[in-house]
Order: sequence, then structure tokens, then C-alpha cells
Amino acid sequence: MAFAHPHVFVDAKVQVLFDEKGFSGIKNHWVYDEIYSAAMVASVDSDGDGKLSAQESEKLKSTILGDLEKMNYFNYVQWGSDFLKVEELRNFRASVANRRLVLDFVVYFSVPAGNDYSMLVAVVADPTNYVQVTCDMESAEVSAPQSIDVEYFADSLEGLSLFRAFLSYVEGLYLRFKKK
Amino acid sequence: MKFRALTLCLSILLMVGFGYSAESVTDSAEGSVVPVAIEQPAVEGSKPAPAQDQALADKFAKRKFKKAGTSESPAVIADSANAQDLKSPKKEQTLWESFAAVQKRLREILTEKISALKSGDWGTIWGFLAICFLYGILHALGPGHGKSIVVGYFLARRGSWKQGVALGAGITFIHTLSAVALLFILYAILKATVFPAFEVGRGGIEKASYALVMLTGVLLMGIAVRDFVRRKRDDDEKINANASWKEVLGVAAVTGIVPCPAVALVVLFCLLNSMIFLSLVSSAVICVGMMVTNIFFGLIAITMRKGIDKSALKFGNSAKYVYSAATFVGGIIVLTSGWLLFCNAFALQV
Repeated sequence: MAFAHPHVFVDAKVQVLFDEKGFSGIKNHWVYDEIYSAAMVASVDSDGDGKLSAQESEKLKSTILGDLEKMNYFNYVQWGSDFLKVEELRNFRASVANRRLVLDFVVYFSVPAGNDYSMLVAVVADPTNYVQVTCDMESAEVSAPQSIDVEYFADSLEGLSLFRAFLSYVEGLYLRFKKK
Repeated sequence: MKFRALTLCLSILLMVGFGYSAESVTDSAEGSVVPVAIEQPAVEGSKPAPAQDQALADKFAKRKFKKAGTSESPAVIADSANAQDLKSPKKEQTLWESFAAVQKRLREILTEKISALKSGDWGTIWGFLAICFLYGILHALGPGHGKSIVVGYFLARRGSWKQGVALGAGITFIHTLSAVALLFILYAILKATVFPAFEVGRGGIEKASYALVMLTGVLLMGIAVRDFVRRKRDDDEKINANASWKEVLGVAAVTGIVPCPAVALVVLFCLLNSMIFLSLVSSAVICVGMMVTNIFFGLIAITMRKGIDKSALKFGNSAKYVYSAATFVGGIIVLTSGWLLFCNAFALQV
């Protein structure tokens, strides 16, 4: 049921985060297309100065991300045979750069590292493709403390039945990690 | 005679193609699932990896990978034991995906043009309108803009060329008008804060309309079954497989009522730049572009139905089965597209 039906376009960058315990979250940096940006910024910009105050940014958070909560903020992480649910969203910041709306936020998960490798696949995309998220996983960053061993690569989602609803151009970041 | 047989074959192929394309995404994805879980000999003290993990482990075995960097040591590239450094071959970009990419670019050009017009550069107006037209044609190729309804309807009911143009144009006109009207009304009330409200309104209308699309499909299938039974009883005079103007208008009104969000966004972008006239002109031109697509699909379906009807004649008594089958398949296409659109509204909740 994935449709090439984009009405909103996002260019996304991600950074996968690990802490001493294991996989802890994904840092998202989303840049929206100009038309959607204009519509959304205008909807909260009560003083009309074209910039986003803390209060206006908070409103955007509930308008945009409130709706996306049930879609896991487009952060689909396969662990075992299921998707992980986002435990918390923090560090939200909305800004406007080059007439385009920019959202920064971190979604938190927790998968503890064991003595053997645990494997994850992380994808940032809208399976309905109403919002077309372009996320170059090749340039995704991964940061981990010394005590955790993490290996990763970007590849297509071919062969992963859990991701069958996604369009074929969507790439995933394959990660495996364990205690050193 | 040869020509008729050819038309019949072509029609059936196209019908199968259309039916398939409605579901191809799920089908092809399911079809591509790699046979998982190669049974591993149980090793003392270790649990066998779950199926999904096995598929992932296989990927890791074949790939070069990076090691996560820390502040002290940047990311490095490492080999796994038998790394071939082979990426799984990237699937060819499907036609839909290319359309999506082109649409993204067209939208960027649209915004540049609108900004240029705002700064008084009216020389770009024709270029702007041409882009709107092109954007409309491409945008309507995506789902939810009436295409499969038009195809399904005219496979199910025998239509005239005029009716084909009317249904294609009618659905698109209502689809655009409802977007412009809803947006203008909300804009008058809410001013610049309009878009989130529009999205809520659209969401509600969307689900109701998709349910109605499914109902239309079921009705068409019902008609097919009814006509089939009547033909069996040789009650032929009661059968009317022709499209009526009342039906055409009804289908256009019911399925077109979902406001087109792409039109709404372009209109709003113009309004926010205080260009009311431009918003109306651009939505009209996008509408004409989308009409071209929908009318084109309508005319193809009518041609197919005409081909089926002509070819069916030579089957003599069996022709009636072909008629019923065509109607039934039309109904299935409408029902399936309604169902897919409806489900899409609730897709993949975690």
C-alpha cells in the first residue's frame, strides 16, 4: 500500500545514537519543501515576523509531530520481527532557513547491548508517501561510546518483509552492536 | 476478424495490468521476500537466530561495513570475513518513483516562479502556467485523483466518448473546486493559520469518500451479477449496460469531492504571498492538467470496453459472460482502489 503520492517533501539527515547501555535513539534533521514550509510557518507565526519564537515552535511541534506520533515520527526501527516504538521525543527545535522549515529532534529508544551482536534496521520514511522523505542513509552518522562495538552499512530494504509497505527507493541503515 | 481478436487480447491484457497495478506494490513486495530461516544445526548452548535476524545476518556477511566513530576515533571502514562489497542490486526506479522525483522538482520551480511573479517579473507567467499544467498532468497520475474510478466505471458500463470526457473532467473539476472552496472559506475565517485545519477537514472528507468509492465498486459488481442472472434467464430486454448521464454525474460528485491537497498548497502559497488572482489562475491550470490525465484514462477504458463488446460478438451465446465479466472486473477495480486508499489512511501505525 505504498503510493507514489507525495504532497509534502522532506530532505532528512539522521544520526544514530548509542550510549553505554546500547542503542538509545535517532537524531532527526528534517528540511521541508518551500510550499509546505510557508503554509506551516504562517499557521503558527502569530506576530508575522517570519521567524519562529519558542512558543510558535512549540505549536508547530504539536501540529506536525502530534499527528506523526502514531506513525512513530516516520522512524521505523526493526528489532527482531517488530518495529520499536519511540519511547520519548526530546530536544525539539523548529527554525526557518532559506524559506524552508527545519525540524530537529531526537527520538529515544532503548535496546541494551549484549555479548552477542544485536541487529537493527533503521528507516526514516513515510510508508504512505504522502510525505516523501528523502533520507540518504549512506551519509548517516553513527556515534557510540568506546565500550560499544557498532558496525553498520546502508542498503535497500529488499528481502525484509516488515518493510514491504515502503517504496523500493527507500534505504535502510543496517546496524549490529554488542559490548566490547 | 484478426483485428477484433487482437483488440480482445489487448483489452484483457490491459485489464489484468490495471487490476495488477492497483495491488502490485503489496504483491511485488511480498513476492520479493527472501526465503528466510535456513535451518541452523542446533549448537550446544546457543539459541538459533530468529528468522528475521538470520536474513539480516546474511546481509552483514556479504557487506563491507563502517564502524561507529567516537569522539576519539572517527568512523572506519571494515571488512567482514567474506565481504564482497556488493550492495544488493538497487531496484530500478519504478515509473511512479520517477514521477515523484519530477513532481518534487516541478514544485520547486513553481515556488521560484511564484516568488519571481511576486517581485513583479510578469515575464515568467507563461512559464509558470506551463509548469502548473505539467504538474497537474503528473500529479493526477498518483492515486486518489480519480483515475481508477474512471477506468473502473467505463469498463463496467458502456460509455460514449462524451461521457468519458465528462466523467474525467467532472471528477477533476469537483476535486479541484472543493480544494479551492474549502481553502478560501477556511482562509477567510482563520487567515494564515488555515493549513492544519484544512488537513483535518480533508482527512474527514477523504475517509468518507473512499468508503463511498468502495460502495460504488460493490454496486458495479452487484449490477454485473444481476445482469448475469438475467441473461441466464434470457431476460435480455431488462439489461442496460450503458452508462447514463445521471450515473456519470453521481460518480463524479461522490468520488471527486475529496479536496486535492496539492492544489490547496499551491493556492495557499499564492494567498500567503497576497496573490489571490494568481491562486485562482494556477489552480484552474493545474485542474486542466489533471483533467487531461483523467480524460485520457477514461477514453482508454471506453475503447477497451468497445473492443471487448465487439470481440464478444463472435462468441455468440457466450458473449453475455464476457459482458458480465467486464462489468465485474470494473467493479473490482473501483472497489480495490477505494479499499487501498481507505487503508492507506491508517497505514503502518506502530
